[in-house]
Amino acid sequence: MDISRPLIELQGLTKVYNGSTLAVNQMNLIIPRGRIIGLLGPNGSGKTTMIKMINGLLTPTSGKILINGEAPGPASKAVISYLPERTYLPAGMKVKDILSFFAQFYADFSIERAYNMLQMLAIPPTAQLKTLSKGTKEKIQLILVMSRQAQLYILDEPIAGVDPAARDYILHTIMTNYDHQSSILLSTHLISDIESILDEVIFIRYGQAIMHAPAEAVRRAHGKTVDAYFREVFAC
Amino acid sequence: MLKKLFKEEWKRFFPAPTVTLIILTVLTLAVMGTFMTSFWDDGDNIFVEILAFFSILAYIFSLAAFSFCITLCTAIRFYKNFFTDEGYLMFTLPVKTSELLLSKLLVAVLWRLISILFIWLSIVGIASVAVSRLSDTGIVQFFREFTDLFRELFSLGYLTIPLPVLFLWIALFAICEQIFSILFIYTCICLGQLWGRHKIGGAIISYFVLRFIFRLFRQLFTLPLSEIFSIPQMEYISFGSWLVFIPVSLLVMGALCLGLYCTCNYIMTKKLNLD
Repeated sequence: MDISRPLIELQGLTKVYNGSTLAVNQMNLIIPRGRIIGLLGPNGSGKTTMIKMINGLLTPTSGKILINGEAPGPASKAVISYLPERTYLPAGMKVKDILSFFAQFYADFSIERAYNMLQMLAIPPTAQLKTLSKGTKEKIQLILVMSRQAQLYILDEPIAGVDPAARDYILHTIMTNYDHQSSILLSTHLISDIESILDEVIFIRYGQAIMHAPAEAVRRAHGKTVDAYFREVFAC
Repeated sequence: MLKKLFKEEWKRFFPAPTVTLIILTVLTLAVMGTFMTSFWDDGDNIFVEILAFFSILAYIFSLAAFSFCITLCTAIRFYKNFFTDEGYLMFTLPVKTSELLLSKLLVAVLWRLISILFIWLSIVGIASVAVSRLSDTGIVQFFREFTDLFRELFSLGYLTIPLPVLFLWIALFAICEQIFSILFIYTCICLGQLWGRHKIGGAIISYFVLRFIFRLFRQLFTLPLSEIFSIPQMEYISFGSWLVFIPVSLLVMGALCLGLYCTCNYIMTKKLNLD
């Protein structure tokens, strides 16, 4: 791993769906190490598409993605811990099975930490995943992601659709479990809930990064919170 | 990583085909059980004859259904695990796509071979009991006559290669055919993913188009071959012809499998677009 290089570099990244819908447009972006970055934009701005391309789940139409200087592949997947916006847990498994599954494939996964978090949330390890509610499954996915010692955590809408108490728990889990040498890329449009933890913010509109700056600099330059500034920029 | 993926895949895929194997075993034992009774002895009774006819028909259909179930399980498993939400888990694992594909393929082929073995055991089991119960010859005599048939073919010059070589070729070809048929399904599912919408519909259309292409290919390939080796007449295939035919048939099958495997791997690596 070459730590002199940025964690992620996007060079002219473009994604066109079905030959006509432009989701990400010539995006150039650098994700540094050791920062908590908010990826902020309204619905349909291209946040999830960009994240999926970084994780190798979507093939870019053009452009380049470099993770530690290399194209997405097994090496990049070993250092990125990704929480998608949807539940991917296989129905036929028990909670403890999915924990063992992660422990088998990710060298940086701490099964002890995962069991501790399960205990804190009173989720029985022997429970069948198919019997659990959507909210509980989301919590299990968060436990899986945050039990890794990854270089980059990509969290796509981790607090959307959950109650305020769960929101607090999720943010607390993220903040207390991530390694400070690592980066967190947090995609959301619920800015007020996460603003206090952000080091940097990236505003995305029409598939392009229109701003990438330290959160404090945005607040100072515009004399308002990032949330208020976001509302101003993206006013309908 | 391939070993770990194989182990996981075996564990996850295990339940569905096991249920079908249990059903087949129960069915076989039930049919064998009826031959132990005196029910079938009255061969002149028209009711028994009709029932026997429909029982055989139902048994053949159940074998076909059993085989179809295993294929269906394989297809559903591949689609669900890679191209639905579960794909978010599988494609973010730190493994090569080729390893993901190979682990699925190996498990599916193994289950296909196990299912073929069970089907043969079922047929042989029922045939053994039926022959020993309904004919005077007995099961030992039945198998003796069966092996005599091969000996006769050999002595008359129809078979010019040693039987072990022939059986080895049949076994290898059967394994290749299983690999081919599974990769064929995988390829259709992968091709369906290239469609912007209606991906399952795309897979079904790909299936019929590919089937047509392969049928055409088979015709074009076997016609000149049958001319060379006089296959339709089945009068005499010389030892020299066998020496060419066996490796050529295996090579062609191997090349087709490799082609399908590479197509799947290419789509899953370079054209992946999970919804």
